[in-house]
Amino acid sequence: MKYLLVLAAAVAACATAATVLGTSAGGDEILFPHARHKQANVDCITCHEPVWDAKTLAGDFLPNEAKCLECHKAKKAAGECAMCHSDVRHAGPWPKRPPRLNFDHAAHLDRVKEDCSVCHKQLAEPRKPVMITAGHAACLTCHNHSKQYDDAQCTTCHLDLASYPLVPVTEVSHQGDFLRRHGNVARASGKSCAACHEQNFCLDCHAEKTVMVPVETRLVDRPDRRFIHRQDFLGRHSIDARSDPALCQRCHAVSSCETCHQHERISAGASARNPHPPGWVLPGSPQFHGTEARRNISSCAACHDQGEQSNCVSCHKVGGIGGDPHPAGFRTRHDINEARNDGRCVACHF
Amino acid sequence: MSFANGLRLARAAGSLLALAGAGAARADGSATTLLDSRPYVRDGGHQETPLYESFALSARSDGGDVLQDVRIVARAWGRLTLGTPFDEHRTAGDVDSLFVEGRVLKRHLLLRVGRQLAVGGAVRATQLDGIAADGVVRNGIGAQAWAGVPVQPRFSQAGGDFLTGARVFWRHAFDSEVGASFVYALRKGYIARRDVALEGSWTPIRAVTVNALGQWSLEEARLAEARLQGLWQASPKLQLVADVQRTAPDLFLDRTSIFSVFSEERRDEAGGEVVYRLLQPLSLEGDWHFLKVEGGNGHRGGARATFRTPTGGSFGAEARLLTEPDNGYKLARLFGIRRFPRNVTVTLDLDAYWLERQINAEKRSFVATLTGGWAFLPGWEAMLAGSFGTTPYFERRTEVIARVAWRFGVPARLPGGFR
Repeated sequence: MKYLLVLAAAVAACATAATVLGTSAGGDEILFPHARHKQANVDCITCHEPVWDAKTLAGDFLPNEAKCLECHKAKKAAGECAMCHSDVRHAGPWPKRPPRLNFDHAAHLDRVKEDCSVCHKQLAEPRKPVMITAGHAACLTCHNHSKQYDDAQCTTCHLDLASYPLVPVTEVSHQGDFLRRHGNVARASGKSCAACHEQNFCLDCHAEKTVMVPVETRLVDRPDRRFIHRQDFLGRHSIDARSDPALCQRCHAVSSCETCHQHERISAGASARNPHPPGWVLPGSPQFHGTEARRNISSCAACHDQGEQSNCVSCHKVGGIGGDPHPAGFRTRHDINEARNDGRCVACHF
Repeated sequence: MSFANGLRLARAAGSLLALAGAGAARADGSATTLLDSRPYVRDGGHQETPLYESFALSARSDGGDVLQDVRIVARAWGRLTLGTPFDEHRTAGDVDSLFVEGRVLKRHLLLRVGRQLAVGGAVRATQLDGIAADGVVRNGIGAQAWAGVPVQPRFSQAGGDFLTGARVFWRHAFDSEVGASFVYALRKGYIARRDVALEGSWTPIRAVTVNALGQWSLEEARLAEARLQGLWQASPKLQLVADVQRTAPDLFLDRTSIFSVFSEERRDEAGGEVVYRLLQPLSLEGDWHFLKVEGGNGHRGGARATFRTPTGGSFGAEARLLTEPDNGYKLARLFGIRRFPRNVTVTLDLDAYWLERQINAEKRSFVATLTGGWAFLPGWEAMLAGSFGTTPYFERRTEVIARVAWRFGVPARLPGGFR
C-alpha cells in the first residue's frame, strides 16, 4: 500500500508539473482556404502585408481578425463563426510561434520579383496543413545557400539547431564506432557538437559524479544505440578496464569505481569477498600484486585510493617491507624542494 | 546528501528564471519517473527497488540589449528506495547541470555560469561548478576559458579543489578547427594536472577529415596522450577510419593520487574501422585494433549488421572480441526494434559472451531484455522492461524497469514570467 502511495505521488508530481508548465495544444484551427482566395484574385500582400518589410521572422505575418472582417464582416454579424473557426467555443487568433530561422523576407522578395510561389510552392487549406516551403530544397536552388549547406554552415539560417532532429551530415558522420571516436571531435571542435546537442545530452554519460542511473538503464529500449556498458558489462568490466586502463578514467572519476566497489563490499579484508587471488603478496607469483598494479592501477584505486592512509604507502615507503618505490636515478632528477610541493611526496615524507 | 542544499539550488534556479523573463522565449524539457528493481548482491540475494524522479529543462530567451540569447539549462534528480535499501541510504539526489548562459558584446562573447560540462583541448570533459567564456575575435580566431571547482557527488564539498583552463582556436568552418590549450588543476591544494595540448580537426575536402591531438604533462615532462585519426568517406556507401593513439594511463589519474606512481605509463593502440551501406536500409560495420600494454598485447574488434525498416524499426546482429594479456571475451548480440500501430514499440535485446578465463568460476553470460513502450499522448510515453539472465556475478538475474516520461515543448509557461 505504501508503494502505491509513493507511485501515486510521483504520477501526481508529473501531472502537477504538466499543469504548471502547460501542455494544452489548443483546439481551434483557423480555416483559411488559400485556393479560394487566390481564385478571388486576393494578392498575398493583402493579408500578409507586414512580410514585405520584414527582415526577421519575429513579426506577426498572419492576418488579425480586423483584416478578415474587411471582407467578411457580415458573416461575423450573422454569427457564422464556424466559417473561420474549427472550435468556436475556444476561438482565438493564429498561434504565435517563435522564429527558428534567420530569414530576411524583404531581401528575398526583391530577388524573386515579389513572386511568393518561388519558395511557397504549396499552401495550406482548411484541415490540410502542409509545409509552407519545401525545406532545404527551397533554399538550395540558390547557389549561395548551396555553398553554405556544403560547408555545413547551418547556423547561417538555423537559429537553434539543438531543437532539430538532424541526421548528422557526412563530415561529422556518427556511423561506425563513433562512440569511441567522439571525444576527438568534441575536444577539437566542441561547437560542432553543441550545434545539435545540449549539454544535458553529453551529461547522460559525462555526469560521472552526479548521475542518476547509467544511460543504458534509462534508455533500455534503445538496443540499436552503442553504449559502453551494455547489458552485463559488470561481468566483463575488469577485462575492458585492463585492456584500456584510461578508458574508465575518461568518463569516470576514481571515486566512481571506489563507490561501487565499496557499495558491493568487494574490498580487501572483506573475508569471502576479498578480490585478491592466492599468491597476491608473493614476489614471483603469476598473481603478484605489483605486476597487477603496474598493469591496471585503477583496479587498485577502486578500493585503496585513500591518500596517505593507502595500503601501498604503508608498505612501499623507504625502509618499508615493500621496498623503495623510487626508480633508479630518481634522486638525480628530483630535489627535496620540489618534493615539498608535490602531493605524492608528502604522502610519505615531511 | 543534503536536501537543504537541494532546495537552495532549486530556489536559485527559480530566481534565474524570473530574471530572464524578457523577450520572446521557448522552453523544452522533460520529467521522467523511473522505477528500477534490480539485484544488488551476487547471486541475486538482495533485490533493490529505487524510484527516481528527474527533471530537465532548457529555456531560451532572446534577451535584452546587453545580454542576448539567454539560456538556462538544468537537470536534477531524486531517489527514494522502496523497501530496505542496500546501502542504508533511503534517499539520494543531485544536480547534473544548472547554468545560465548568454551572449554579450553584440553576441561575440558567450558567458556561462553554474554547474556545467567543460569540454575542449587539455581540459578533456570535466564537470565543473564555475564560469566559462567563449568568444570569437575575428576571422574564426577566438578563445575559450574555464574556471571553477570540479563537481563533487551529492552536494559534498572538497577543500583545495580547483580547475582552470583556456584554449585559443582558429575555426575555419563547421568541421575544421585547430586549437592550443592548457589545464591547471589542484586537488586538496596540490597540483593534480598541469597539461598543455595541441589539437585539431580538419576537413580539407568534404570526404576526408583528419583529427589529431597531443597532450603534454608539464609536471611529468612526458606525453599524456597523442592521437591521429583519419576518416575517409570513400563513397556515399563506404566510410573508412584509421587511427593510432598512445596514452599514459597514469596521467588520467590525479597526480595527487599515490596510485599514479604505480600505474602503467604507456598504452598503444592502432587500427581502423569500415562502414559499408550495402543497401539503403542495410549497413555493415567492422572495426579492429591492435593493443599494446605493458603486460603484453591484445586485440579489440567487432562486426555489426543493422537493417532499418521504413517504419522506424531496426534489426541487428553484432559480434565482438576483446583480448588482453590476462583474459578476454567473445560477445554476440541480436537486437530488434519493432514499431506497431497506435505508437507502440517493442524491443528485444539478446546478449551473450564467453570469457577466455573464468570469473567467479563462470565463463558464460547471457542476458535477454524485452521492452514495450507506448506513446499514449503527445509528449507522454510509458515503457516497461524486463531483463533476465545468468552472469558471472548473478546465477539468476532479474531486473524490471518502468518509466513514464513527459517531454514538453514550446510555448511553455514557466514561473517568473519566463514564457
